[in-house]
Order: sequence, then C-alpha cells, then structure tokens
Amino acid sequence: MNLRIGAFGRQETASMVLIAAFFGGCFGMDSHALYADGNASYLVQIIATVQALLLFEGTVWVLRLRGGNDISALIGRSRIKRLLAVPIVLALMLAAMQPLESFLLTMTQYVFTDAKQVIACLYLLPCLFLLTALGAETLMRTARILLPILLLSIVAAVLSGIGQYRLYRIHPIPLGEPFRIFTQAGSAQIRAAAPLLALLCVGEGTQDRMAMRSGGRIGAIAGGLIAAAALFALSMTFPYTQLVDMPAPFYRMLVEVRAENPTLRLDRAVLFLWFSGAILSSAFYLYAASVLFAKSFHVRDVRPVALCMSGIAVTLILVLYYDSKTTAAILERMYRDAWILISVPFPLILLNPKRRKRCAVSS
Amino acid sequence: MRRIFIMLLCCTLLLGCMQSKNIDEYAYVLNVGVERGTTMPYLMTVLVSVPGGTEDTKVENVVITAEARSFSEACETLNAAYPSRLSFARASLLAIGEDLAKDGAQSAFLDFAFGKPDLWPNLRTVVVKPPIRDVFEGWITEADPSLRKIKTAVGDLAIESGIAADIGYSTYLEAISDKRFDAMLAYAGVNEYGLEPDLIGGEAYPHVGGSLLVESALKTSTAGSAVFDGDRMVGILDGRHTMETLMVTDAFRKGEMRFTLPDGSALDATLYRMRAPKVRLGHGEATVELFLEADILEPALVSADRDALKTFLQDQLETELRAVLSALQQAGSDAMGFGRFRAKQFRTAADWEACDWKAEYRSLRVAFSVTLMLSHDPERE
Amino acid sequence: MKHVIRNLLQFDRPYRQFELLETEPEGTPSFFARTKPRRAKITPEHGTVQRRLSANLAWLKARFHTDVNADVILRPFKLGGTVDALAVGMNGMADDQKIADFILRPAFQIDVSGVKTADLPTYFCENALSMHETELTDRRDAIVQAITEGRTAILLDGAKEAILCDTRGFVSRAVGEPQNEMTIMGPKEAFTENIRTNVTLLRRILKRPDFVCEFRDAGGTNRTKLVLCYLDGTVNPALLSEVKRRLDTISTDMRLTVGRVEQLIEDYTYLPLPQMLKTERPDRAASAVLDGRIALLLEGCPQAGVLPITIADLLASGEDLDMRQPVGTVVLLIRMIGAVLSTYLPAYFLALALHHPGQLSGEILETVVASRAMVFLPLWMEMIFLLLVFQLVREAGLRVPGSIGHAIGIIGGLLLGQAAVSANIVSTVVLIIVALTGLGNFAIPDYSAQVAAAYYRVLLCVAATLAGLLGITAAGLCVTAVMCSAKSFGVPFFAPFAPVTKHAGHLLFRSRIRNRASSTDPMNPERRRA
Repeated sequence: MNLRIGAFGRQETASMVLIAAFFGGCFGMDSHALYADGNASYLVQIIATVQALLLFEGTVWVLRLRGGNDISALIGRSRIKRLLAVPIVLALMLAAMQPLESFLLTMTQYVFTDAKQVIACLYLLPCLFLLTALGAETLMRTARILLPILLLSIVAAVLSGIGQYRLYRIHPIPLGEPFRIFTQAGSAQIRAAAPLLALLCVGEGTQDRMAMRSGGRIGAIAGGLIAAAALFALSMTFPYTQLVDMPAPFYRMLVEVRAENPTLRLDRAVLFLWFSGAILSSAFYLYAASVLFAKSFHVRDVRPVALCMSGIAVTLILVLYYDSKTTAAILERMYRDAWILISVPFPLILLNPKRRKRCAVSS
Repeated sequence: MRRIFIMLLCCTLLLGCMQSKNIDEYAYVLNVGVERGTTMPYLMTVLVSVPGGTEDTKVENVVITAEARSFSEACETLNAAYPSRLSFARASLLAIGEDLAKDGAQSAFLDFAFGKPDLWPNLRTVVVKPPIRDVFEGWITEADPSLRKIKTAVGDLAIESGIAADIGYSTYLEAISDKRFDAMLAYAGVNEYGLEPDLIGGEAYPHVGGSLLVESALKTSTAGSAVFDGDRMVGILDGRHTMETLMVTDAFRKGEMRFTLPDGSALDATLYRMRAPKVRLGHGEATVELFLEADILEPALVSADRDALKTFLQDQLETELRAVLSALQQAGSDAMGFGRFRAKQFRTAADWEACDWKAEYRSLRVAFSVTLMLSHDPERE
Repeated sequence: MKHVIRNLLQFDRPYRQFELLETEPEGTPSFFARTKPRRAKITPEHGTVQRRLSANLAWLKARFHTDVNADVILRPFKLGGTVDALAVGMNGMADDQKIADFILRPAFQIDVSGVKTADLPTYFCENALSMHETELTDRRDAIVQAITEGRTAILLDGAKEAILCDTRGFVSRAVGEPQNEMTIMGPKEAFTENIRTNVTLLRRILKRPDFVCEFRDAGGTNRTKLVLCYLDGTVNPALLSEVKRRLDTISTDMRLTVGRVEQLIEDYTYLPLPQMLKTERPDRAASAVLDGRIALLLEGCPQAGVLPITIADLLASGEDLDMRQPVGTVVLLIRMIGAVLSTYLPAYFLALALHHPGQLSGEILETVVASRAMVFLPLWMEMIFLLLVFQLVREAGLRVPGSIGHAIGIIGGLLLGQAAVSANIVSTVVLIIVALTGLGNFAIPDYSAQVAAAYYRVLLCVAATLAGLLGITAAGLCVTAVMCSAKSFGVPFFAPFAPVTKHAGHLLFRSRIRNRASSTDPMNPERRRA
C-alpha cells in the first residue's frame, strides 16, 4: 500500500501538533459563541487542551494494552466496525476546513476585496493537494522548518501590540458560569483534539508509541498554551463587545499597532505566513483522514483519497461562501457539535471487545 | 500525481489571477476628513500626495473635497474628479468635523469607511473645527517637502507634551460600543479662527502658559481634546485639562504646566508620571491617587520652602481635577474611564450590560489625592 | 537560364545537395520526436591471448585500426636476442623514455636461454623489467584497456600471458588555484583533470590507512575511470553499496563528467537544487570524506562530486570553519540573508507593489511612484526584464574569458542599467531591487544552488504577479514541502533540522569548533568521530 506515512521523530511530531493546535485554537474559533457572554476564551482554550490530552493519553494507554501504533489498530476489521472510522474522518475534515475558512474570509474581507473566494481557493487547492499527497513525513518536516518562523511571527505580533494592551478589557471575566466555560471547551474539542487525533491516525510513522505520546503531548501542551497566551493578548486588545462580531480578530490585532514604521508594514506578510501554517495544519488533518479512510476501506493508494478529500473540503468552503445562509447555519452547527463525531466512536473503539489481548510493550 | 498537480496549477494560472494595479496608478491619500455638507449630508475632504518626476522628487499635496450621502458615494465622486484612483492604504489621519461630531452623525459615514480593507483601522483621529479643507491646507508648508514627517511630528509632540489626547479610531469605536469609558479625541483647528471656551472655562488650545496662536510655518494647531458621550461630542477640554484627564486614565507620560503662586508669580514645572494611578471604586464613591514627579524650572523657588511648594502644587492639582471631573459629569462624559473599574465588579457580562453605569457615574463622588515628588527631593532618596 | 528559372520556381526541386539522412533503426520518429531511453551497448572484448605472436599482432592491428590509426605503436623486438616479442603502446599516452629505458634495454640484455617459453613472462618481469608496476594477464579486454590508458603491453611469442607495464606519462595541467571557489583563508590547491593527481591531492590531506580510493569504471562505453573515495569503517556501508548500485546502472555513450554522473544517479530529476556537491577544492572534499561522505573523482574532470549533501552544505564555504566562531556566524548569517533576499526580494516587492501597496511606507511609496513616473512597462514586466538582463550579463561574463568578462559585468551593470533608466524602460527602484538580488545570489557559494535560486526567483515572481502574497505563500509552501520531501542519496535535504538529527552546528549560528570535534552528523556514519 502506498500510504506515504514515512518516518518522523519527536521534534517533527511536536512541531506539527503545535502548529495545528495553535491555528485550531486561534483561527478556528466561533467568535459568536465564544464571546457572547464575556471573555473567557483563554480559559476555554486551556481547559479544551486538557480535555484533548486526556483523550489522547487514554487512547495511547489502550494502544499500549492491545498493541499497535495507530488508531486503525483499535478499529476492528469487520465491515461494521470499519464504519467507526467514518465519524473520525468527518471530524478531521471539519477540523481541516475551519482554519482555512477563517483565513479565506480574512483574505476576501481585508486583503483581496475585489476577488472572489473561488479564486483564492484555486491557489489553495494545488498547494493542499501537493502537501497531502507528499505524505506525513514531508508534512512533519515542513512543520519543523516553518515552526521557528511561525513562532517568531507570533511572538513578534504579540509583543508589538503591547502598547495597546489594557487589562481592563478582559473584564468582566465570566467566572460566575463555570459550567458554561466547560461546555464551550467541550465544543472546542474539534479544534483542540483534532491534532492529536490526526497524530493517532499516522502514528505508524513515529519511532514507537512512546515517541508518539511524548511528541503529541509536547506539541499539544505548547500549542494550547501559546494559543491561550495569544487569546489573552487578544482579550487585552479588544473588549468582548467588539470581538463578538469581529471577522478576523488576530489580523485586526496586528493592525492595531499605531507606530509609524518608516519602511514597511508587515501585517500582511505575517498574515500570509500564518496562512501557510493554517494550510499546513489543514493538509495534516486531510492527510490523516485520508490515511484512516484508506486503511479502513483498503484503498491501496492514499493519493486519490487525499485528492478527493482536499477537493471536497475546498468545495464545502466555497459552498459555505456562496450559499451563506443555509450552509453556514448547517456548518456552524456542525462545527459546534462536531465533538459528538469524536465522542461517539471513541468509547466504542476503546472498548472494542475483540483483539483484547496484552501485547508486549515496546520500549 | 505530477500530472494532476500540474493540471491544478494550470487551472490556477489560467483562472486565478487576482486583480492588480501598478503602484503608480494610485494616488495616495494622506488625510481623510468628514464634516457636514451644504447640499448633502456629508462633505468629505482628502489630502492627496502627488510625487514629482524622476528628477524632481519634491512631493506636492492637493486637497480635494466632495459632497455625498455616504462614504462610497464620496469616494466615487473623488475618483471621478482625480485622474488616478485614490488609495486610502497609507492614510494616517482621520479628521471629524466638530459640527458632525456634536450630532454624533459621523458614525454612519465612518462605519462603512472602516469596512474598507485598505483603511488602517487604528488611524489617528482628531476632531477639527470646520472647514476641514483649511485645516488640511494649514499643514501644507514650504518648510519641508514631506508632509508626512511634519504631521507625525505634530502628533508625537501632542503625545509627548500631554496636551492632546492621542487615540486611534479603533479605540474611539471601542468607546462607542462599550460603556466602560468615553472617547477623548485630539482637537485641531486653524489658528486664525480664534479659540473657543472649554468645558471648565479655559480656551481651546493653550499650551503651557500661552497658546498656540503663533505665527509659524504651520497654520493649523493640534492641542486640547474633544470629549464624547458615546458617539456624540459634548465639549472641549483645553491642553491643561486634557493633561489632567490623561493623568487619571494613565495615558499621561510627561507634560509642562504653569502654576500661579500665591504671590502672583508664575512657576513652570515639567510633570512626569511616576507610577500608575490607583483608583478604588466603591458604592457611589471613588478615590483616585496620582503619583507624579515635578521638575521645577526655577531652582531658587524649590530651595526656599520645599514642603510648602509641594503642598501648594498638590492642592492646586487636586482642585483642578475635581473641577474637570465635575464638568465631565455634567456633560455626561466618562472620559476619565471610571467604568473600567466598575466592570471589574461583575462576574457575568449579562449583569454588566444590565447595569446603568452612566446614571451611577453622574452621581459618583470622587476624592483625588496627588502625591508629588519634587526633583532632587531628599525624601525620594 | 531555363534551368535557373526552374530551380527558382519549381517547388519539388530535385534533390541535388548532400544531406545526411538519419538512419532510423527503430522506425520513424514520433510526432514530438521524443527519444526513448536507450541503454548503450557495451561490447565486451572476449577471448584470451594467443600463443602465436603473429595471431596476436593481427588481432591488435584489427582492434586498433592501425592502418589508419597512427597513434598505436607496435614495436617488435627479440627478447634476449632469441624470442620474438612485441611492445604495444599508445603514442602520447605512454612515456617513450620509460619504454626505451626500462623495457627495451633490459629486454635486449636479458639471457633467456634455458627458460621455458611458458614461464618467459614471469621470468622477464622478475629479472629484467625495472618498473614498479607490472601485471600479467591473458585477457584481451584488459590489454586493450591498458593500452588506451597509456600502459604498455608486452606480448611474447609462445607465451599465453601478456605483461602490462605502467608507462603512463602524458601531458597534464599542473595543480593550480581554484577558479570558482575562492577563499581568503585555507589552501589554494585545486583538482586537475588527472585522476591520479587528484587522488594524490586527497591522500596528502587524509593520511590515514582507512582512507580508501576505490578505482572503477564509471560505466558506459567510454570506460571513464572513476574513483570512490571514502573512509572505510566511517562511511555508512548502506550508503556505499547504494552508490555502487546506482553507478552500476550507468550505461551511456556520453563522455562522463561529475555533473553527468550526478544526473544519472540522482533521485529527483526535476528538483532544481543539486543533489551532489561539486567542488574543485581537495580540502573541502577531504573534509566531506572525514564526515562520512563519499567523494567521486572522474578522469578528465577537475572537480570532485561529494555525496550525500544537505541544504547547509550548499550554503557553506570551504573556509567557514577556518574563521573564528563569532565572525563565522556573522558571515553565515549574511550568506543566509543573501540567499533569502536573492530568492524572495523581487517577488515580495512585486507582491507589495501590485497587490498590497499599503504595506510600503508613505516615503517609499512616493519614491517608487516618482521613479516610475515615466516608465511605460508594467512593473512585473520591468522586473522580469531586468532579471533576464541580469542573468544575461552574468552568463556573458562567465563565458567570456578573463578581463573581457569583468568588463562585460561592469558594462552590463553600470552602463546598461543607467541607459535603461534614462530610456525610461526601467525605474531606479526596480534596478536597485534586482541589483540587491544579484548580490544576494552571489553570496550563495555553490554555482548550482545559485542557478536553482534563480529558478525559484522567477517562479515566485510569477506567483507574486498573479496573486500577491497569496501566490508567494502558496508557491513558497509548495517549494518548501518539495524540498523537505527530497533526499540526497537517502539523506533528507533539510537534515539535521528536519528531521532532527544529532549535529554540532546550526544553519544560522555556527557552533564552536570544539563541539564539532566530537560531533555526529546526519550522514549516519558507521563509526562516530571521537
């Protein structure tokens, strides 16, 4: 089978998960739901990361008991059991769509106002297809190369806005409704758990389960914390009353800086740098979904599946753009309730009665 | 795979060309202004920079105006009147006409303008005494070919001296959308048109001891501030009162003040912020502690009776602060931003939104306490 | 007259002129006349040496076409005055003096009475030939190969074996200074066309017994000599066997050089970046060998091919390690900035100028607009035109010899640029951008990498013209991903950064030289250096 998983180490794994977790946390959010009742986005992000890590650690623990390096080892071979992979594939596809959609919206709203979104998508599609077709090894290595630049841009963006930060903007902190914060964190699982879920799908490429676990753990914690810090910086830049309707808050944060730079403004360069990170994380999700699909349904080559998934994801984003009323409602609902896609099959996979045998634990 | 990738790439190249224009096909707007029109609701004024040829790099500045019902209509008219397409990407100042601001009518016009992607969202925003054309033309000078540098310097001077509020449009929008504070924008006008009384009884743009009404290369001055209640302008504060208001909002860094001593002599002092003010908000009352350092320009006065001088200056500042707050409360403007501290007392957004803060603010009793350190004060060591 | 008119007007003019028609053994060419890859036929020389000298003489005459080929010297003589013998050598390749002094003179003086005919070659070698390298063989192909290399074959009547004596003594270039990899510090020797000299140059640096120079054929009909240089016990055996396997697949009629061998054994044909480092400096090749890499030397090629390589090697110069750490870091950093500028600057400027003018500050905008006031070409065309001019000047300067080449660079750079600005074809700002790009390009030490940067530059410029920063992002990400997926002989191109392997230095900041002494590297050597 030509799955193109390859081999990757802990740093590459951590880099990919970090990038995906950061962009999921900061660019896939649903502002309406998150800021409707005050600003606790950074708390939601931290709690969502903890929840996702618990899910990941649990799955790795079950993998250790039963043997195997990836999630497909837990899904049975029978036809009905194979169907359990479908919701996970869908969840990954939704996770892939979220940051892309957010960026395309930012682009058509702030950068290319005269351009149609379909044209922006045309630039996206070859890139997305190439990345998914090149496989996990390439994705992870690209993530490792891009990570320092992305981190630098994030730190620079957060630091450059220091002059605009006002602590009063984070008030009122909605600590009066802790249950609501936990519910929001649950809804955010599509963003927080997706990187780890994707990693579980391509776990075969890591050196062993322990490498996968430590890479995933480091990436998710670092990504979650950086995203929470960025969200906190955002909260100090804008009050929740403005954030609730703001289309691209992070880009707006970049352009809040008022210092007159004598040479260049770098906000668009940073935006597109972030966009490359978003494309990379989306490609990672789409590739993981393709691999899981190919393994579950015995497709011999991952590339046609990857091409189809990339095409479907981009088409859905376009449909959302052109038929915003009905489709947007459906997709927003799906984003909000996508955690069900993860939470329903997972107990079944983890408690899969067959193949329950203790395997030798690899060191 | 290679074939599919190349096919997709070809599709991109054939269909996916973004619209672009050469950099020299635009005319770059430096300042945008909006005021009340005579035949239509709005009069939009823009200051455009026109670079010269290759040999002569001198930049000329042109002021053009158009009356319209909306921002897009005004843009269309201006584009029709000007040979190049106007680009707002490098606009660095937004001027709102005082007449428009007093009715709060600028919001409808500007909301659309800031939907435009190329307009910098946190543009330096000033309220000007109409006509805006004269104000813009007042900035054009023969002294320096680059207007940008002069204008930046004017803005920076205002910030560094503390005599003008310096906030961007984004903060102004925040003040409108959020009731935690009210906006306070810099105030600019043409010197020849005289001064207006401020809310407390001063004059529109006094600076240190005198005013900016001096014969200079620039005919336009920026000093003092326009205070708002929501999106409606309710009055003017002169440079000194602006400085005092900024001390409470912690936007003050440094500024010069002239005090009249009991014997009638004048004392010039440069005040510095020592640390952030402490504001405590209780039920219907608040205390504000300010920590400042004063550098007295006449050392003889300081050595004579240091403690008496310090007490006198502190008392005078506290008195003035009370007067400013009282005037602001009467005008309904929370320019000092006490709402920021009130919002901290709520644990849900719904409760905060249900609170009628403006009503509470009008009856708020505030005790000001100024701690002043004189330079080279032995106590400080 | 009639004939002339007919010739002028008649369409189907009778065929008169000589034309070399292609012979098409595989049928007519396809519509696009694409050639199918065809393996070159190598006809091996079968058979052994005959006992009769006359038979061997006839075979040699036929094999070397001596009736028309005057290069081959067939020198008959009597060994010890009794046995018929023949010395065969290639004129110019073999040293006449050596043949006369060390083969013919002892041959006349030796006493062979009482020696069996079959033992004559051994006896002659042991008792008469005062040469340090002799070899006995009965294979005809070995004899042919030896003669073409400049050795002399001695055939004796009645003997089944021939003696091959090393009499090579052809003219070759002396060891000179490197022309393309100039350094301020470090040695000034460069490889020559003579493979023996090149091996000696390496051996003089690597004085250790585990340094192996494995001589072999490069493959193909021409049988060019190739040397695989490596440290036995340090180089990864898997890498060595993979390189040998790939070299075995070479089958071509072409003359082989390092560049051609690289293309014949590389993985990614369409990747613009080179997958083998070509260096003319023996010290650099020796350093690579010490790192656990393999150096390829080819007969007639004044360069060594080093493999595998990573992106850091393409940006490294031979003298990097000769500089102290702080200075070395600054130099490396400047080189990196140069490489990035050279690749991205024109595209970034195009993207800003065409799609995002607001990103440029007011002063720069005014300057750019003022400089373009009279220029009639669209900005993208202006940029592409100037980039093309830059490449033209560069190529012209490279190909034209000596001082004229420098003059072309100056004329191209100064006069043409100034004239183009005066003629309103280009603007000064774009000229500055292209000049900066050119400078950055020259900061990349490797020529192949410079050309690759030019390739990416044009690609990114097209993307930036079409879609501004979106285009640069999409194209840049694709380029990065392809480079991340690429491997040079099994070593990922971005190693040791992606994938992360143990390494002593960084791409941006050079490590202390002490750290490198105990370092390991991404070549995965068999024995780590201690």
